[in-house]
Amino acid sequence: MNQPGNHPKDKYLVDLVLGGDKQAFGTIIKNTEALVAQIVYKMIPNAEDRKDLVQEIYLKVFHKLEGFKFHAKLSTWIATIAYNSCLTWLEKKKLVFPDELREIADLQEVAVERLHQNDLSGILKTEIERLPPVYRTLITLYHQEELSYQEIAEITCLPEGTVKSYLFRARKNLKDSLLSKYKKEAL
Amino acid sequence: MTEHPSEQELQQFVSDNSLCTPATRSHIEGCESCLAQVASYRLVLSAIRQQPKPAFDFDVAALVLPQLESPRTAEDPAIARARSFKDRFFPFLLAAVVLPLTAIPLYLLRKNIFFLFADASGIFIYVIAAATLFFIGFKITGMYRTYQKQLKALNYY
Repeated sequence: MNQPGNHPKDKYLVDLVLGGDKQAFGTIIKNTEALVAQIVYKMIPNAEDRKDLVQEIYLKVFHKLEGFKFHAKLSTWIATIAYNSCLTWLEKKKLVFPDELREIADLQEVAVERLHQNDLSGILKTEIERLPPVYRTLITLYHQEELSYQEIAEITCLPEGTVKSYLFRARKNLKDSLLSKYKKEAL
Repeated sequence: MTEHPSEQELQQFVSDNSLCTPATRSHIEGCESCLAQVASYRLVLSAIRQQPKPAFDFDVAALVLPQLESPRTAEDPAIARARSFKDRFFPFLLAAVVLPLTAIPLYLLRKNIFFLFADASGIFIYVIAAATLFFIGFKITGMYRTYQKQLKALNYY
């Protein structure tokens, strides 16, 4: 069954790729890379890792495309693969993340914070970057990409209620940080 | 309404105030402290929307396309149909074979099953029950550890 939100062109493109047309896969990449970038940038801090990961994501998409049954939108399905690949990547990195690298990352974070601390968007940018990756991703998918709770739940494999509750906490966290920064400056 | 609304109600007021109760709406609109909270939420949401959208600084298609295998040949529709049938109905076929094979002997031997356990000593039953509980506990602990590991990975910095 074709999912109602699915673009008819997606079905056509998938058929072309399965028929051996590599350029059609290039079009699928172009159509979905903005959403994949949102997820990868919000979850993976290192630029080199992102480059490797995005290749891995699209190679997985290519190999699994045959099994895609259009029960979800093509972009949602690809975003799910991107999100799960990022999770696996984070899990792997956690095992080998040395303390020195963590310290360097912390120092860079402080430097960025100092650069931005004078303006509101800078403060919020720093605070958004401080959120755990999953919160950052949810906030971006909901407020920037304007995806529905249901779509986000599909991508992250989290129950809709959990998505709502994480979003609520993330917004509250950001609002509290903003207010406390302002209070500090007022003092 | 004398008490301040909850954070949830404040967030609802910001996203769509028509969903709030009239009492909540009138409280927020007349309360300086709540209005300050609402203004902060509005600032946060507008800042999120204004954040520049990230884009890869390399050509993803140019990077990925050369790594794809040689063009895939479309599957023969008859083979695809057969495979799809097998994938869809295999669990049911398996259940149709396994269930009667288990249920029929159990039904036929139902009178003897009781005697099978009647002769068993209390210690034997205890060992079986303890082993089963230990196995279930072990599996649950494993699942919980995996879940915790994934959560930690999400919050690793």
